[in-house]
Amino acid sequence: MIATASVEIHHETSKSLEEMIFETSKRALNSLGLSADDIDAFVLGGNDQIDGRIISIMPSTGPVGGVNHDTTMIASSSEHALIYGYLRIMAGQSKRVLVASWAKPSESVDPDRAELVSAEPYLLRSVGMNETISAALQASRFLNGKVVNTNEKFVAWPLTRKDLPGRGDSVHVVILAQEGSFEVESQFAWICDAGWATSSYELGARDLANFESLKIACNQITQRNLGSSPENWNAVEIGASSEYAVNAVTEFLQLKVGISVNASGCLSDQFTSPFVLGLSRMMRAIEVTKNAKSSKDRYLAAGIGFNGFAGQGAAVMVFSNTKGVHND
Amino acid sequence: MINVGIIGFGQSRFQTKRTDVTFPELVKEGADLALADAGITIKDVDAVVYPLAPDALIGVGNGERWVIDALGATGKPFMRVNNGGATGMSAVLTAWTHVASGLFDVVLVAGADRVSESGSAQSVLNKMWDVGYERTIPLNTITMLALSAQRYMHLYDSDETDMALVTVKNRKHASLNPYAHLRTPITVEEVLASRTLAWPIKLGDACPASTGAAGVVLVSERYAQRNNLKPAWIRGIGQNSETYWMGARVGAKSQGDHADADALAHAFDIAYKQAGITDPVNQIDVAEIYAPFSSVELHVIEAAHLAKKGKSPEGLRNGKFTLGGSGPVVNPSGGTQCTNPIAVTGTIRVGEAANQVLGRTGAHQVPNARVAIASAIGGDHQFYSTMVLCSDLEEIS
Repeated sequence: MIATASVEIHHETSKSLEEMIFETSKRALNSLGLSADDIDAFVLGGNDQIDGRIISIMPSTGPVGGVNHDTTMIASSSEHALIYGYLRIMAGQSKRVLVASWAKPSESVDPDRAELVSAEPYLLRSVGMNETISAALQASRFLNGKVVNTNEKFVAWPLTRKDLPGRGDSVHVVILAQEGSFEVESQFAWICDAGWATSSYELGARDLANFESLKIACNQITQRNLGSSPENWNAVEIGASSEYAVNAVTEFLQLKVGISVNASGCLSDQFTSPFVLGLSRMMRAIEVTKNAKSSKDRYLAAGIGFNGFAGQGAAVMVFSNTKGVHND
Repeated sequence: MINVGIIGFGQSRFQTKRTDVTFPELVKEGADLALADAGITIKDVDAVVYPLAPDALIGVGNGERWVIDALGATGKPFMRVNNGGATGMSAVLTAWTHVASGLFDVVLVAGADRVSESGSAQSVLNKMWDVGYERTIPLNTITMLALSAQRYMHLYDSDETDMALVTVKNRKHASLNPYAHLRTPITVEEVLASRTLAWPIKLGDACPASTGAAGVVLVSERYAQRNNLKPAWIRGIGQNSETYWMGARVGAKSQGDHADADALAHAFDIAYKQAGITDPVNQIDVAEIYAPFSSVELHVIEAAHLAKKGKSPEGLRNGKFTLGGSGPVVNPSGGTQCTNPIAVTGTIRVGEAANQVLGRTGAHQVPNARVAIASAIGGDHQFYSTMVLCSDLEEIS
């Protein structure tokens, strides 16, 4: 990781989504004195329904600088876009990759309805399923008979506004580079590994407290790279569907005592959207790692994101202040 | 770099409408056919890449999540690609990256589309243009490419008969392909007499709205060696993008001319360089290229450097690009013009090209084919994917 840029705002009224993408991409490139021609692949992560664009890659390729370049839209989640950028570097296919992902729900007439359209038409859509309701279903699994004491108004029981991710307009840009294609010591963070997996779409077929896809994603990392497994993390940023889920993930991963969890702030403080929530937390994990750059000790920060209703899919990326695989 | 090959390709027998399957069941059909052809099961697959273009065409947002169980992808790394019409091939390129990264040995790409069931596909596709400027013209994929066809005719003194020759060739090829959607041979006169959709494009020049599924299985060289497999090897890949704005395709400030496909030519150049192709006409045996309308095939042949700019009609008139003719055969399967299930059209191009170099296509096999190319186009002629496949890993001379 050699550059990052983000914008998060509650409701951007003066700029179109394309203008926000252009400005954020330009800022990331300018921070390194690079232009789009210095990038050999652009990986985009957008959601057609939230964006209100039939094929979201079409209007966004120009603003990121992708014209006359290799451009790919990874539409399943913003974290997948970052992982695909990483795979391109690993494959030796690219030396510098710009990854951009976004959501601007304020341009949607009704984001909840856009999410409802993501429910299959035979059963779930008539229930009125969306991200908030599926998050509430998941949160209710963690109560274990506890009574919810709050003076706050419920958005969807047992969740109040403070339990849920803040909603807003955001664009995130990351530039990844192969070792040797950037100035020594200019890196923000090294990528140790990435794991990602999916689980069943059918909510009724899953135990929503189980985090099956997260478990598999973490196992992938542990099997390849033992030193980057959760027990070695110093910090983790978790982009889960609710604070209940964040706490449950923390317990589920059996993280070491004293680890920093979501030190950048609680979910409701940050303006985001379910599609980019995971990447926004990964950006914060990168930032934490960057701040530990001068430390002689190895410092690992992980970013976790989920995609689909109640965490159908999960993605984990582990960042380090030192390069190399550590199977210790 | 890790060598990557294709060991399995499956496709439906494409038709206008299917009422016997739900969308996830249709996707499963593509996965099952590809896995069966590869001689493996989903348990052998390390990761899945899923191609799906506009969600609006199937009526479910994030449609990739809906089909995960049907694909058998639960518990596996999974991601979706959406590069518009190029998606089916961009997904294969993404799967290539998965394998070439060294993290995976076996990756499945499988998907489906049911374009004809989306009400008005062209009304949906009109919405892909900018709401303030170009949507109101009104552009859709037919009118957009009619503008390109007019420009080609103007620049290269071509006419509607040249376009009709493309259709006649492709329908003849498709009649030999049991999986193709439009398989009835047609004459130049019949094409010219068909009703006009957007001049000069007529019904006879246009692709069908197809329903069906397709998939391919990619493997690493080490997996192929370990299992004594003989894949179709991917020897070169390329992608490139063009401006979104149709108004920037012509005029003094344009980077290319809407008559041509210069950005696609660049994507071919990237793949050719990797594969060591320096003389496409003599080194390439088969081309499975994405051309939903007859007019598009003319400039894609030229972008692939199988003819000079403006010269592909002359080649067609002389019997080139046809099964049994001399030189590279273009779209022996009948191509996109005879079968277009958008999300997997590019996947089919790759699968057909792979089967050609393995000598497995049947009645539309090009004799002794060793080197094949495939391409796909997405967006408003904006995203281009290319690939070179070969039956072996020896130098392409």
